[in-house]
Amino acid sequence: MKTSHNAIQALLEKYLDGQTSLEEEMLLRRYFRDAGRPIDPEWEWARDVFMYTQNEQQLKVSLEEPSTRLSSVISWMRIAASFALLIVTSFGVYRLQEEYQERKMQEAYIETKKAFELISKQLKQAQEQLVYLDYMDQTVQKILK
Amino acid sequence: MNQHKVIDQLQSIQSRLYRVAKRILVSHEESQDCVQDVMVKILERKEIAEQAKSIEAYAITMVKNQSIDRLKSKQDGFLRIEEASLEDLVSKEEELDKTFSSSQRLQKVNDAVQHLPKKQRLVWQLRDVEGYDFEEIESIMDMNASAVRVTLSRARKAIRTQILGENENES
Repeated sequence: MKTSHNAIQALLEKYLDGQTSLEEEMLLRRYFRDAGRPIDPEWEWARDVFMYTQNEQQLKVSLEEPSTRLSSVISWMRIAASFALLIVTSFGVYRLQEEYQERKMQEAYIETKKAFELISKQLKQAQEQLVYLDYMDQTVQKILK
Repeated sequence: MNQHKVIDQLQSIQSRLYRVAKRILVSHEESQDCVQDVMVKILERKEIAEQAKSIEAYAITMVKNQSIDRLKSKQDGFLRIEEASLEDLVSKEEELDKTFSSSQRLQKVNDAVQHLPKKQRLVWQLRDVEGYDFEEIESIMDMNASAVRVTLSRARKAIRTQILGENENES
């Protein structure tokens, strides 16, 4: 028992220095994982560590089923994102079109206004010409008389 | 080596890959995602994997690199949206862990390990949980022999100190 104690102590020190071989670490593991064995209170930390690593080694995962669940979440997110993109772009296109139409209307309005202005100007000129015509008419009458 | 053999080999080590990823990422979902991703990548680049000495070491190295990258981008805030749900997952998982282990002592060891810097945590995981020999760890971590031993020694000592320290605080 005494020699065993010394041997374990030596192995633990070697372990802490990173110098133990895999076989020596196996010895330590076997020693500390034996739940029935009473151990030196100074070694409790080592028992906890080796119990913990035993637990960790048993941690298993099967990726088949959960992965589809995960990827379905991702694909749903993808679908949602593409819908959001679609909505945003279509709204943008709609706004652009609206703006374009508004601008077109404005342009048409200005054009029509210009046309009307032109007509009214022409009419005014014509009216002025009419005055001359009237004047001429009077003169003709005078001469004829 | 054919496709099936590669798939078989990957499946036989998927838990191992998952444990290494989880050591860095903590979140169950993200670790799973990371391993899945690595497995797909290896199958896509089968020729490279075949050239590697062992697919296992190659896969572990990829998982190691990818989990560190993922953690980095998470810390940079690129995954800010996911973070809320991630924290959620982590806390749920911690609850589960507690009920399953039913032991505060193991939780304490876990906390001590998670306190380690990334490199130490990985080297410790590869040796003390996965049981790799030093040459394998050197190639996975891209470190030389003495650096691996020094890192491992630091990790083991830090874990012990942390456990002892916490015990002292309690009593």
